[in-house]
Amino acid sequence: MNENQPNFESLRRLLALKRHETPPPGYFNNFSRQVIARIRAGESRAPASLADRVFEGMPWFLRLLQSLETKPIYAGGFATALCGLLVFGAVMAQRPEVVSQAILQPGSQVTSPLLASATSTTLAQPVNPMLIADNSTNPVVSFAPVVAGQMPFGAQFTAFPVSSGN
Amino acid sequence: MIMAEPVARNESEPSAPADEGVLVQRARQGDLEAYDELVQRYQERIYATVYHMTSNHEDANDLAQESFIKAFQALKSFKGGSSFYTWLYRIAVNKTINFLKQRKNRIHLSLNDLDFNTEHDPDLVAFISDKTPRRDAGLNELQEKLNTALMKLSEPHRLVVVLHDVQGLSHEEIAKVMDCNIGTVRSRLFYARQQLQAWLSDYLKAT
Repeated sequence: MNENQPNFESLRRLLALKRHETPPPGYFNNFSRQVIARIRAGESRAPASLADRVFEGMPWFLRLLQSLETKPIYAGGFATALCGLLVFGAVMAQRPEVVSQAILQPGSQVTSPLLASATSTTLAQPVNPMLIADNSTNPVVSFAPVVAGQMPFGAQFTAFPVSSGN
Repeated sequence: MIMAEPVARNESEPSAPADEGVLVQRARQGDLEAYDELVQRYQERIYATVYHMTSNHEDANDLAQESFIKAFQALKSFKGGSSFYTWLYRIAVNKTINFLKQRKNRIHLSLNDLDFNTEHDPDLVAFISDKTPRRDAGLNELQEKLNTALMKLSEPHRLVVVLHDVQGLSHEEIAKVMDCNIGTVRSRLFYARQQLQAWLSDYLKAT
């Protein structure tokens, strides 16, 4: 053994003492019987709960829960992440109201630079109705009366020559 | 009776694996006789591990039984990636660590008695008759000091010492049970032994 390595031989022999610590005599004669009796009692007493039946098909979820049980830091991290997500969701849920209010009130201050640029282009300039009409995807409707024999919207009848097909 | 004879590494891992596989398969289908056989096969080791972690017979009894019950209930999720023995150990260890965390503020020792044959154990006779600074220490005092020192270790460190130096599991087996790598097991074992050596120096002969 390396001289720098401590020698644990005495300690190991001392620890071997632990092997002599025994349960009361005859203890193991009944142990398995007790376990089986408890399993039987549990089976007859409580049918599997809904949660148990749901999780039975998801052993990965049970493993996750077990790992969280033994490592509380993970459970804490998981809970913190969940809370953070909740807060983020709540904040995001509030934002559309802020935006809509900002749009509805032209004089209001918009804090977000993106919103500021968007609102400055849409609100600062006067609205040109022609521009809206040109850009609109709605069908153009003329209110001029339709004369019999004429197509509406200035359309004309046309004919296409059809070849004989040779 | 000597409890929890050191498990001689992998080669002594419970009898024929095929046999164990059949028992596990039958137990999964609800055959309690098969499970009873599995319980009998591992009860001493599971009890011993839990006992050495808790230093209390009643707690060890409850935890060992609950571990077997939980294992039976979770048998359907046992995929056979590791041996049943390792998987069972992991359940018992997790249960024990959870229990110890809850019990942290009410540590009390209720040690089992050393059995009569202890006094005739050649290793022990040699050990206490050596010229140790405390060679006059009685067995019970020695046992109490040893357990107190063990309980001062953190759970992961105590577990490594119990599984390796008391139960005789290999580093590889412990790594599987504790779900960590072998390097971690080795470093924890080294640190734990160093701590114990410092606390028990009066009882350890100079080598």
